[in-house]
Amino acid sequence: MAPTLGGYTGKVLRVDLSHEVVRREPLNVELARKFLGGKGLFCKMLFDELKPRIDPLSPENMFIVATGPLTGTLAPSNRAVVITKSPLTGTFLDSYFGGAFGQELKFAGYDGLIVDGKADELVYLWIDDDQVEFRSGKHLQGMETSRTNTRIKDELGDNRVKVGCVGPAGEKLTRFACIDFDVHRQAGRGGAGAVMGSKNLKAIAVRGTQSIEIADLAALKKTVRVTYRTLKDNPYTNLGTAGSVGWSNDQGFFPSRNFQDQTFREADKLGGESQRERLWIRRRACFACPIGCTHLSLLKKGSFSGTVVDAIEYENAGMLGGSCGISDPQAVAYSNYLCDEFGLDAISTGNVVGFVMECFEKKLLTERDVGFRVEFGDASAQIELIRRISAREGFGDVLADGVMRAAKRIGKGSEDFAIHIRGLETPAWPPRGSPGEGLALATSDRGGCHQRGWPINYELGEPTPYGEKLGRLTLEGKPKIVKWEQDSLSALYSLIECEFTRSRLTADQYCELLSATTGWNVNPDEYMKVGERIWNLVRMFNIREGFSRKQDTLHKRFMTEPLPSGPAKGHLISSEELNKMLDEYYALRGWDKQGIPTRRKLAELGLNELKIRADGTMG
Amino acid sequence: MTTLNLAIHSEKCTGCRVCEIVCSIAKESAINPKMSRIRVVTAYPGTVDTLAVCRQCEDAPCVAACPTRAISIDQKTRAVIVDSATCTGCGVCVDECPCGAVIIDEKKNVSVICDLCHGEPECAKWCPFDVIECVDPSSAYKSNPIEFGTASPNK
Repeated sequence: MAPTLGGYTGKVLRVDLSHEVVRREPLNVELARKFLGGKGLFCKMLFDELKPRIDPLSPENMFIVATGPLTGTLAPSNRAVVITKSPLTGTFLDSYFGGAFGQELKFAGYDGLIVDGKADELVYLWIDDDQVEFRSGKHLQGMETSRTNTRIKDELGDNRVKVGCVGPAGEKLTRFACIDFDVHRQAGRGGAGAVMGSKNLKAIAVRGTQSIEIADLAALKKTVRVTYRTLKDNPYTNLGTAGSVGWSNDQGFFPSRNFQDQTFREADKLGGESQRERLWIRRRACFACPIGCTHLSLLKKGSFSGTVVDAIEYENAGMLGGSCGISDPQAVAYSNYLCDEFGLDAISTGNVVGFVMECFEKKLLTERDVGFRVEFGDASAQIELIRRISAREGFGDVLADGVMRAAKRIGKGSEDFAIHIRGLETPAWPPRGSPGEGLALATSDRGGCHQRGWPINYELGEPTPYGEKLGRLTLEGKPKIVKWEQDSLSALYSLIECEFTRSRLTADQYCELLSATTGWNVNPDEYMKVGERIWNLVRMFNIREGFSRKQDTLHKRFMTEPLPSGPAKGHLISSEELNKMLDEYYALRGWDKQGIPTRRKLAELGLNELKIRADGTMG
Repeated sequence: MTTLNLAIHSEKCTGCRVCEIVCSIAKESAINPKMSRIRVVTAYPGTVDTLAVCRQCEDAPCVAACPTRAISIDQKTRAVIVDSATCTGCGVCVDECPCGAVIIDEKKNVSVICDLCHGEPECAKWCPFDVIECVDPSSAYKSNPIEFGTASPNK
C-alpha cells in the first residue's frame, strides 16, 4: 500500500452561487506534486478554467480560498490565500492572510474553496464540515467587519466558527476592498473584497472538526521543534513589523508625502518603541506561529480613546502615516481600524489619500471638488475620506476605483502623483535607493507589491543565498537576486508559509517540513524549480491578459525625480537602468525580449500545455 | 511520574493554538484542535485570549456529578481521569465543569479531560510564549478555577 499523502485533505469544494449548487471534487494529486498548493496549484486551476480577459467583477470570475500542504499543521506560521483575477490590476491576484480561517477550512475537509457565479441577493456561506448552506445575508448589508463576524457567530451559536467577510467597501465594489478574516487578519491587496462583493457574497463561515493526516508525525515534530526555537529569536519577535520603521527611515525607504521623499521626520513616533509605550496591550499570533508579530492595542488618548484596535503594522505606518504626513500614532491606528472595519486595503487607502493630499498641494483639486480641504498631515480629513471611499459617497466614488482610475478621471496631469504599478498602489517600500527593489516592483506579478521579491537586505550588505556580495546602488547581480527571491517566495506561498519565517529558516528546512508532512521526498533544488515553474505559470496568466514588457515598469516619480534626502540622496532608477536590468532579468529567466517565456523554458519547466502564438495570444 | 499543576499565565497567551495542536497529536495521533484537551478561548473575536483546561479542582465537581462514576482523581499525578469504558457521554461533567475544560468526543461518545500527559504535558513543553507552566502543587501557586476560565466556549 502506498503511504498516505499527508497534509492534503484530498478534496476541493466548489460553489456555484448563481445556481446554489455545491460540488466536492477530488484533489488532482499529480498537479499537487507539481504545483504544491496555494499559489501554484490554484493558479493552475484558475489558468485552466478562467475565460481570458473577462471583467474581474463579472459573475464569471473565480474566487478561491486556498490552503497549502502545511496549512493547519504544526509547521511554524502557516497561512492561507485568496486567489482571483484582480479588479484593480486585471492581473492574477494572490493575497495571503494569517489568523486561523484557512486552517479551519482544512479541518472542515477541504484543500480549497472555489466560488463562481453570483447570488441573486446578499448571502453568506456556512460550511460545517460536509454540510454547506447558503444563508441570507440581507440583514448584514452595510455592516462593518467585526460586527458581521460576531453576528454570524451568534446566529450559528458557536463562537469558535471562523468567519471571513467583506465590509461595506466590498459590497460597494471598491476596487481595493479587502477581506477580513477572523478577525482583522486581512487578505488585503488587489481588491479581492470587491470580487466577493460582486458575487453578492458577504461572508463565509466555516467549522471543521476533522483531522489533518501527517505522513511522518515524529519527523514533523522534530523539525518543527528546531524551527520554533530558531524563530523565537527573530527581527519580528519584539516589535513586529513596526520595528522596521526606524531602520527603513534611516535607510531612506520610508514614504513621506506621497513618495515625494523617502524619509519622514517624525517616523519614530510610528515605530515599534513608540507604539509599545502608547498603544500595545498584549502580543498576538496567528495559527501555529512562534513569532507573534502583532499586538492588540488600545487607544488611550484623543477623541478615539477607548477603541480596541490592532497595532500599526509597518505598511500602515508608512502609507496611512508617512505618505499622508501624519505622525500621531493614535490617529494612524484609528484610520487603520476604520480600514479594517470598512474592509479597505490600508496600503492602497493610504496611497489614495496621499494622492489626494498632493493634488491639493499642487492645486489640482480644491475644496469644491472634494467637499472639504485635504492637506498633508490632516488626520480628520483622512478619516472622512476613508468613510466616503468605503461608502462610495461624493468624491469617494472617484477614489474607490483606485489611484490609477481616479487620476484618469481627475486629469490635469494628476497621473504624475498617482503612484501605482499596473494599477496596484505602491506600498511603503519605494524603490529609489534600491535598484533591485525597483526591478522587483516592476516585475511583480500583481503590480506594485514588495512581497514578491525582497532584494533590499542583500543590497544593504547581506550576502545572497548563493554567496554573492552586492552593491547598494549598482545594477550588477540585481536581476539574479530578484529571480531567486521570486522563485523561492513562489514556492513558500505554495506551502503556505509566512514570509517572516524566511529570515531564520532555509530551503532545506522548508523541504523537511514538506517532506515529513506529505511523505514526498522534496529537495531544495526541486523546491526552487517548483517556485520557478509557478512564477512562469503566473507570468503566462498575465501575458494571456495582455501584459508584457510594456507594463514591467515603475512610476515616473521613481524614474525621473532624484531622491531628495537620505543615504541614497539624488538616486533614481532611470528608464535606461530599468531596461538594462529587464534585459538581463528576461535572459536569466529564459524569456524573450518582450518578457514572454520561450517554448523551450516552458518545456523545461513541464509547462508544455501553455502554448502561445507568435503574437503573444494563447494557441 | 510526578505530581504537578498546570499554571496558566493567561496574560501572555497570543492565541497561537500550538497547545491545541500538540495536545491533539499526543492524544489522537493526528492534527485536530477540536479534539484538544486544552483550548484557546476568546471572549470577543480578535481580542484577549485565555486557555480552558482542567484546573484539577481539589473538590472536583465533575467527579461528584458523574452518574456512572467514570471520573476519578489519579492518586499519583492528581490528574482527573475519565474511564472511557464506564463513561456514557451524557455530558453532565461538561455542564458541571467551572472552567469549560471538558469536551465530548462525538465519535466515541465519551468525555475527554486533560490527563497531564502522565506528568509531562506536551502543551507546556511546546507553548512558544511560556504561558503554560508545570508547577509543584505544594508551591505558592494554587489553581483557581474562577480566575482561569469562566468564559466557557459554546462548543
